[in-house]
Amino acid sequence: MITQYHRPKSMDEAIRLLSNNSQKSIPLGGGTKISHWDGEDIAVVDLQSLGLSTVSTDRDGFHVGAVNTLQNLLEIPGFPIDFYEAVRKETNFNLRQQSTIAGSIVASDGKSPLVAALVSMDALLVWSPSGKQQSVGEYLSLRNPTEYSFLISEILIKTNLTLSMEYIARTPGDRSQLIVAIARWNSGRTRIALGGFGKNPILAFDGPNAEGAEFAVLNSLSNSGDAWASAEYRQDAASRLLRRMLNSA
Amino acid sequence: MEIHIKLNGVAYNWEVLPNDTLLDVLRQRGIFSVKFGGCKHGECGACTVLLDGNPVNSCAMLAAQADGHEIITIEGIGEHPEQGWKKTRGLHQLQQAFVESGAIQCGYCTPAFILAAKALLEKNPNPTEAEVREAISGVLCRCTGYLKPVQAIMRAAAVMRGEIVPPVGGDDAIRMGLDWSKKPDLPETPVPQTDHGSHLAGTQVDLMPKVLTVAAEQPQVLKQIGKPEPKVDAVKLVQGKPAFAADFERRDMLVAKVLHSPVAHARIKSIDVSKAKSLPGVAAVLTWKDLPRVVYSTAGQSDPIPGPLDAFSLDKKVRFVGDRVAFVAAETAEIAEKALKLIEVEYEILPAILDSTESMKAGAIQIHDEPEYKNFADSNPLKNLAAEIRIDIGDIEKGFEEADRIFEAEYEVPKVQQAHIEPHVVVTYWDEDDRLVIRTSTQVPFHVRRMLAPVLNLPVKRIRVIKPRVGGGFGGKQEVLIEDVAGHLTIATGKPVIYEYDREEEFIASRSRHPMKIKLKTGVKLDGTITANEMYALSDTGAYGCHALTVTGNTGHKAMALYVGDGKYRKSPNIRFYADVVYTNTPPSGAYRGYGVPQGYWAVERQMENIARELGLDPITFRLKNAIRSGELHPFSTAWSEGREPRPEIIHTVGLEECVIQGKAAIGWDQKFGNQEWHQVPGKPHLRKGIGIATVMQGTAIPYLDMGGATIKMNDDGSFNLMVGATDLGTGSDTVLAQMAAEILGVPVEDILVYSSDTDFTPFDKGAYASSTTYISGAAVVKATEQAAERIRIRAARMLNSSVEEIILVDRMAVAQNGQQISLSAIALDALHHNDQEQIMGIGSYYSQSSPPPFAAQFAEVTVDIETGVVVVDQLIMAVDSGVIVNPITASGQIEGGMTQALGYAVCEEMVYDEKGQAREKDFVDYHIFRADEMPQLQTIFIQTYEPTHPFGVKAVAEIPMDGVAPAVANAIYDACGAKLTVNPATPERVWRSIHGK
Repeated sequence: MITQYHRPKSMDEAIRLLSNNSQKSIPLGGGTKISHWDGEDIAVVDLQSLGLSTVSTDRDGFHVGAVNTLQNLLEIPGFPIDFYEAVRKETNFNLRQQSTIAGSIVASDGKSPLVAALVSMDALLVWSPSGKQQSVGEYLSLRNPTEYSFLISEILIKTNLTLSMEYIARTPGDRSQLIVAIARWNSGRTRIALGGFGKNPILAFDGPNAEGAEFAVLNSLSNSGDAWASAEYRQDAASRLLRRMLNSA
Repeated sequence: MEIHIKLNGVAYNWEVLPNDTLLDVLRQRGIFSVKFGGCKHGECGACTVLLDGNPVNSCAMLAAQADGHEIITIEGIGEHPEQGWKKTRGLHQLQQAFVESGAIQCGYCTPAFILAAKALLEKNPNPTEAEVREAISGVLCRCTGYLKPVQAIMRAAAVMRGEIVPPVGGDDAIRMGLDWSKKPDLPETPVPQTDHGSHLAGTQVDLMPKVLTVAAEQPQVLKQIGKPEPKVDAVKLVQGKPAFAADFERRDMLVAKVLHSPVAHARIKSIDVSKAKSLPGVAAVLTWKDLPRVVYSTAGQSDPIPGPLDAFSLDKKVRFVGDRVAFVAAETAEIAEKALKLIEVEYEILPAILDSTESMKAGAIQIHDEPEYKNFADSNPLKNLAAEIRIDIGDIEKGFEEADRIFEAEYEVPKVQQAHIEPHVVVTYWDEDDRLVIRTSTQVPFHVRRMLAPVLNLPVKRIRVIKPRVGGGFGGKQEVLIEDVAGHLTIATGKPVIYEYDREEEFIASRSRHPMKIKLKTGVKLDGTITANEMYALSDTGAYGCHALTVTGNTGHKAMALYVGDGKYRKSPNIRFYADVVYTNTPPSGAYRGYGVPQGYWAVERQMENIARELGLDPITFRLKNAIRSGELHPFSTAWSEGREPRPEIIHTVGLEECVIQGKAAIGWDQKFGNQEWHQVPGKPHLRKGIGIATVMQGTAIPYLDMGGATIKMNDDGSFNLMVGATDLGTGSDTVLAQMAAEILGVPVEDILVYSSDTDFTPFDKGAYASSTTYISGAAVVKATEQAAERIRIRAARMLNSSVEEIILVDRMAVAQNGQQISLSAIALDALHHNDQEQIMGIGSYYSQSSPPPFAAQFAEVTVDIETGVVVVDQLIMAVDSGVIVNPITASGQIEGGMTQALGYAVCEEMVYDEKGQAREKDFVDYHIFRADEMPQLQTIFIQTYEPTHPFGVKAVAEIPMDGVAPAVANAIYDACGAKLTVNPATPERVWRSIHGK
């Protein structure tokens, strides 16, 4: 149960509240997942007044403040087209007004198209107060921030790449049963993330080019069977989508 | 903590708790337009408010997060234009457009739609249809199919831009007698010009459905029947008035919660509630030990219930994950939830049957071993058999002998949810006369009263059931599901109690469509004549036998009745329908719109398609060759009637052939079917297009059983109170009943004030099910109103010195043949106050000896990814013969909404359980229902026949749209890629397996 609500006005205050050892404290973004918390007693630290909804660009890419809503992302020009599609498919219109990008990453499961896209794009989380960077993929595998890191202050999204994403679901608006996201750099570097199952999207391939990608994808999906689709199906469909996507690139 | 917000322009300081959601806080303060959809993470959007101008889901944010922000709810954007002497700003253009366009069905999600649209139009006054659909995609609607809300928003946008929009029902009114298949030379409705090109064509222009009248005798031109009258409750709903069961406050009201079983099958060895009872704020904790042991059925049906009595309010045995273990009433929901966690239960786990094929095997554990079990007909708890059906028509074996080919196949359909957005909700309290008042969201208020009386140990006369506005039902509320919980707790505590399901409870502890495994065997001559047709259905009723017999009986009664065969077989068809309805340890099945018939048509229509393709016959010609025709005997009418005595019924009107003609033309069948070029998608070699059809029939009410009553009384001003027991679930039935009364009385619909329903004040009606309200309750209204009209004519004749026979009622006047006339208000004053005083009123009830079937041709167009099995449904067109259409807007809304539900049945909806009986689907994330931004194009065409058994010629419209979509989609998939699906829904993997022979 949520027993305390705080809305700090500075990062220092937020860090102080989040590092309070007397009660478990959790950062609150949009609240779409936390608002019905029925576990242990917690305090929530609302990040809305910290100025974390800024967006800036430099040669590394977009520095997206952690509490930018998903709808804000759709209004920022310059991302690959399929990134916008990933954001749209993440959730419905109303929830896109509320859900923050950092909250969506933290609360994601394997069916998140946004996170699959971010994993393939090798996006980085920037933690406060340490300032340390951590790849989205690494964070998801551990679900643990780096040392002396209490909240995500921004997400660094690289844009010197092309992104293509295919998505299999029962209907156009349904949650995914398979996601294949491919990020390709001019150098030929190719990263492939897979989603639609499991606890989080996974990085299936990261190579100097696409050679060996299909084998890696099939291998990554060998244990992907669940109540929604068999591994056999996911492997076959992913390899067909992969070929289609690589051929059209 | 204190928060400061601006709500609808007024600043407030509110004390809230850190864990209060914004939804909770708004509703606690009487903002009832913001609805609870049962979800926890904003999946349905019924709780939408505008936060700083953006639509957000108030259930998915803390009230504290809103501190310092501005909130707009529907209360803040418009109000009733007439409030006595007070001038108001009137309705907002969006509200007005929703009223005019028929965009409101149950009305539960209407405020949310309007707020989302308002946010859009403030940023983008000239949106495309796609932008509108995206903007409202956060709001789920189970009634409309989204077409009319989108049309309403586009219409409002045009009005707000200062454009002139065509009146609904003016030039746009029904174009009687036109043949739409021949593209008649019609005056086109002007299309508002935009900068975006032609994006409005899909939705804004065609507010009215196409209607073709094919009745042998053209019905007389009427003033109200056939007119797209706005719904009588539209203005109320568009303002978000507190019309629903939970929109109700009473001092000291307790909140009920139920402890649900975590295991599929077990005996309760011990249960300790002492810790829960001692929790401060807990008023009562009830277990099976506390309640009288009364066996009953939860199926809301007429007496005697045509099924076994096998349920208790609380039992010492649990039979599915989600079954009831204990009831709690507490001061708050949080306290009640805490109390549930303090109840200690020790279970003796029993083997669970989760697969219907295991239920009747020797040695299977008996799910119902309670001595109180009461059989109905052939039920047999020793065999886990809730019902057995054995129907033989003609000589099936001889029919097979006469066939050139025999086709046999097995099909399967899943368990699916009604998914009404308003959850089950009930409030109970003792009134000042110590009578128990049950305010409940139900389709069957009179059955609730009758059936709960023994369960609560109260006489019927000490129970009053009030049915307020219902936020969708679709059969799910044809169940006396939770009223007993609140009733027991009010009896235990003496206090008012509210019990409201959350969405997870809707999935694990509610009712659903019966899953079935169906075998079909069909004998056919090479010329396409069906000589015999045999179905065996293994139907899974889950843990309790509610609706077991009647749902499954209708699977055969409707789906196996359509194709009687040709030639000599027309007079003597050979049909066999056998079914076993078995218990399993899964959540109970029950009534769901279509009531067994969609299951049957999945099998029958897939079978017909396969036969036609195998024999090289045109699938449409083959169907029509064998389909039943007008003047023929309903083949099942002499064999089965929902557990009661069957009696022969002649089918008087069959518009099926015209449905096919019009539907074919609308979808361009002749240009697409068999056209290989059309099936290809340029530049996309992995895509194939396909087109499919299914033809279907339903029923209209249950003959010799269903009865509805109505009373009508005249007021001083010449208006009328129409009181009906019928329940409007969002279908528009209150409106069409008012139209019938208005037609007879010669008044506009606004002069008919409909009240429905309250067991103390309205006449009996069996309730809203079996597609019966317009037909049965409508005929009752006609009878009652004709009585009142006759009294008016008698008095008018006296006042005008005329004869009664010469008086006609028109335009609020009684008019004599010589042209003299007098207003109805003058007649009312005369009757009530001046001369030979009397209350002009009428009372009528009606039950039918017929169940005239509506017919339909359902068309579907799809695109299939032949590599991955992904199916996108591009278009659905339904041409339907529902007799005379009383209100084309509300009727087409029924068709659009029904097709959309059925589309889910076709491609995505199913309820799956693991090896322990745990549900895979517990929310609207995993159980996906279609959103506005992913809908195919929908089109409705009405083929008007005139059903002679009804005073206005009507047949049913409500359920038939559920029947044909899934098989039509599957047949279109077959047309696209050759995939022969036998199991629905058509998930990507199922289609892929079929294509690739996996």
